[in-house]
Amino acid sequence: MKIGQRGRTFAALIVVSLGLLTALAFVVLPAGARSPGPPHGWEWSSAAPGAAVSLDAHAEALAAHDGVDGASVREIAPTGGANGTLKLLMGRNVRGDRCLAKIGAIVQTSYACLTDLTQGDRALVVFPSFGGSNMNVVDRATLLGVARDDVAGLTVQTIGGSVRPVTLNRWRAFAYTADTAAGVPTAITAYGGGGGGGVLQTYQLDATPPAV
Amino acid sequence: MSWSVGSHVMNNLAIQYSGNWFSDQSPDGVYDRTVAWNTDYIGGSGVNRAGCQIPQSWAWYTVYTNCRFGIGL
Repeated sequence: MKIGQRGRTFAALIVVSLGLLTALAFVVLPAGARSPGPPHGWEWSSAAPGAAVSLDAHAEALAAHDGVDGASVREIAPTGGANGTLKLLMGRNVRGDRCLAKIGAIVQTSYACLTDLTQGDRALVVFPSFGGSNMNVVDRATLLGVARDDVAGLTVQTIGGSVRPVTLNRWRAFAYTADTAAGVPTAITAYGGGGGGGVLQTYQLDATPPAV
Repeated sequence: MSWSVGSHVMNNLAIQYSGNWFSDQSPDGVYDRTVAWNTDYIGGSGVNRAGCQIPQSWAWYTVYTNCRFGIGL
């Protein structure tokens, strides 16, 4: 009889302990670990997304400088405008990481890789450029970037107060160009898909003229 | 035609040329990029206030990461 009571007491302690552990896990673990949401990430169905692009010697040198295989480089988002033609390039480095660079009539940049750029649960990687026809104004802008695979839509908010949709292309890349002060973006917002389609993230942009 | 480069925030490198300006901002808030400016576009002679070497004969002028900050300040 004594053993039976001890057994029931022991079993009750186990049940209570499990309950406490479950409650503790619910409090301590991040939401994603408790109930994983839809998987999302930064992979593409194609090994080499984008359109073929011809790199000049300088662009080849920049790719080599950053360990990116020039033969893997593709153009995933082109744009034009007062800043001149700008393209977003994607290539793979020696570790297989996907890396992005901006190339255009006026500027070519080094490659930044998604492993580094997507730290902190980012839904977008945005490469902004701003400019002006004199040092006191901002009247041109270009945004180039890529979106995580759970992003279904984008908008920019402009200095003029409007909200404009930005199209994601088949490589989940985007380009936005402004050639007027009113169209210069102050923020870009990513929306999720599905029934909700709510805001995933908003990125504020700094368009103030530089102190050159 | 002359030009100069500058930066006002830590994620931005800008160039002034012929009265215009143009900036390249980093995608992650830290400007650790190598940037090449097309001197055919912005002009062949310039002032780099960071004191980096400027190969004037190049069609492209490259700002490497080790001279990215303090420019124009």
